Amino acid sequence: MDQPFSYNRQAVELIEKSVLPRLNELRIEANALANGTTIIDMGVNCLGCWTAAKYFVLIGLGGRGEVEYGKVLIDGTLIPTVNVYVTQPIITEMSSHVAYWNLRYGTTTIVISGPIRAIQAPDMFSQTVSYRDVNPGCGVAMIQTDQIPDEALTQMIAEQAGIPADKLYVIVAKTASIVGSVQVPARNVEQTLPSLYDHGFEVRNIVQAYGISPIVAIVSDEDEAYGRVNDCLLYGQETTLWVDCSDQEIESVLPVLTFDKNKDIYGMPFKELFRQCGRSWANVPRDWDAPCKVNFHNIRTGHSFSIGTINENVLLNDFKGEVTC
Amino acid sequence: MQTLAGLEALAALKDRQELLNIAFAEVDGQPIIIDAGVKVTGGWSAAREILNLLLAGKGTVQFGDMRKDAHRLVTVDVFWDRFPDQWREIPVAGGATLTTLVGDGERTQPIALLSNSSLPDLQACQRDFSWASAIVVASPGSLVHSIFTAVRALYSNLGCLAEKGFKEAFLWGWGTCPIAPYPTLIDEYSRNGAICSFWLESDDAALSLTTSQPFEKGEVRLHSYTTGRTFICGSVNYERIYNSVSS
Repeated sequence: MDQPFSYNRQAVELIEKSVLPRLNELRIEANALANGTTIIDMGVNCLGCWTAAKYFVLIGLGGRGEVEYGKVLIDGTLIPTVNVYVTQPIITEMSSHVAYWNLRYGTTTIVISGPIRAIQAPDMFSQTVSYRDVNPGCGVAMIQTDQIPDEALTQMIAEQAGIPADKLYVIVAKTASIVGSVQVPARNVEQTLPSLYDHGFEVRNIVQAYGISPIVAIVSDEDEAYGRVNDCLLYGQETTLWVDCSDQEIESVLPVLTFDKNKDIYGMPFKELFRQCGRSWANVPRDWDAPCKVNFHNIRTGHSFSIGTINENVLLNDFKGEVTC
Repeated sequence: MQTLAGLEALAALKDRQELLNIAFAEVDGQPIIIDAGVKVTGGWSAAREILNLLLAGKGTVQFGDMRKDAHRLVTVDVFWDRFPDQWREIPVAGGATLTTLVGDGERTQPIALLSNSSLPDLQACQRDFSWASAIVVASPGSLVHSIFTAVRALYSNLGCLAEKGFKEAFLWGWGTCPIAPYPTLIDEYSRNGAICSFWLESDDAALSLTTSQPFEKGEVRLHSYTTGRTFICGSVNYERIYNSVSS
């Protein structure tokens, strides 16, 4: 009997066939720690590139999807975009892609995304689906960080996932890199699904998912880059979902779904919003972590719905690097 | 000069010539002639694969579109992962133009693009292209030729950037240019529709000064990776492009 699909084994196959043989071409590095864990630096000490960024996203999806670049006209200016087409979106996003495994390490919290979450379902979103990647024999963790993980951290990740440390790959990139500036806006469907879940929408109704986000961020300052990538999500991301449910189920979440419901702060760049929250996600209201624009195609009724507003002003200021506040 | 990857890519093209709607002509001791738009019509995949081959892992090519009102124009989009080899054009006999790739003043690949309405004869190959392993030929008016000329507009801005002394500062790039449906519109589309974004490790003063002098085609945005600011030179003129199609 065929083995069930393994997000981790598929991700490792991508790494071994498409990434490791092309380190120089992709402007990235791979190094083994003493415990055998392989660290792939796609944007901490390495420059990375467009192609590396696509692989970062695709590996985060466990290979289940397509990642393409495109472009969008923002107030008369054509801006590059990252377009993500997710296969089996609920399992792929909730079990693998979503960045929500908060691992306490010393005095810091490490936020982990990627296929490794599918093994033990260590967070509330991976627990929303029944899928588990049983005994994959390997694991792939993705971390948005400006520090290369040390051996103790990777040992902890491997132990908690229940895999040998020498079968663990950890892929890292800081926000202030091209890979970071692409992979965060590519968390597009991810931005929408947890919000739908929060508001009681039955996420199993989602059949297919596609997302497009502008890329406006590439800058060396980590704080600036962090603000801009989150602006891409709050003010520029657009998700399209094919769902199978009653129209009422869609209509009930529309008024509370998208970021523009926060009328008191809407239009303020995320850098400023984050500063107001003491630069801690723990202080960011859950309603602020919302998608920008969501389209629904209901395959049961043939009706379509759309909610949310793209904020061209914020995006264009980010792209041009102009002072906004 | 010829890399193993390059040879493998050529062999892969040959294996798929029917699929790609191109035709290989080979004579011992002569460069391979790849007809991508003279006797055969070529196609999108052929153009993309040849352009990716020429990029040699320094970026990728894809197609997209831009739309205004009732008009939708197809574009070719290039994502540069590092500073690529430059396109250099050489006039050859009969009014044709040969494009070769150069880096640091040296020809880097034995593959060239020939813009000509007929395939070169063997004598011409021996005389003009003896250094080459393969010549890709496309006739003005063919799809592949139009795509190559759109990409050439983007590369002309890259050449300008190098001339202005920013080759070493180059980190990544992105460019898009509408593909002219007729040869008569090629110049119009390049001048008014090409857009390049270059991310550079440079300070604002240098970029500000650089954008005060013109680039070759369309709109060029220089993004300082260091400061996060953007400096723009030139502009696109969508009205002109769309009007040129509708008139």
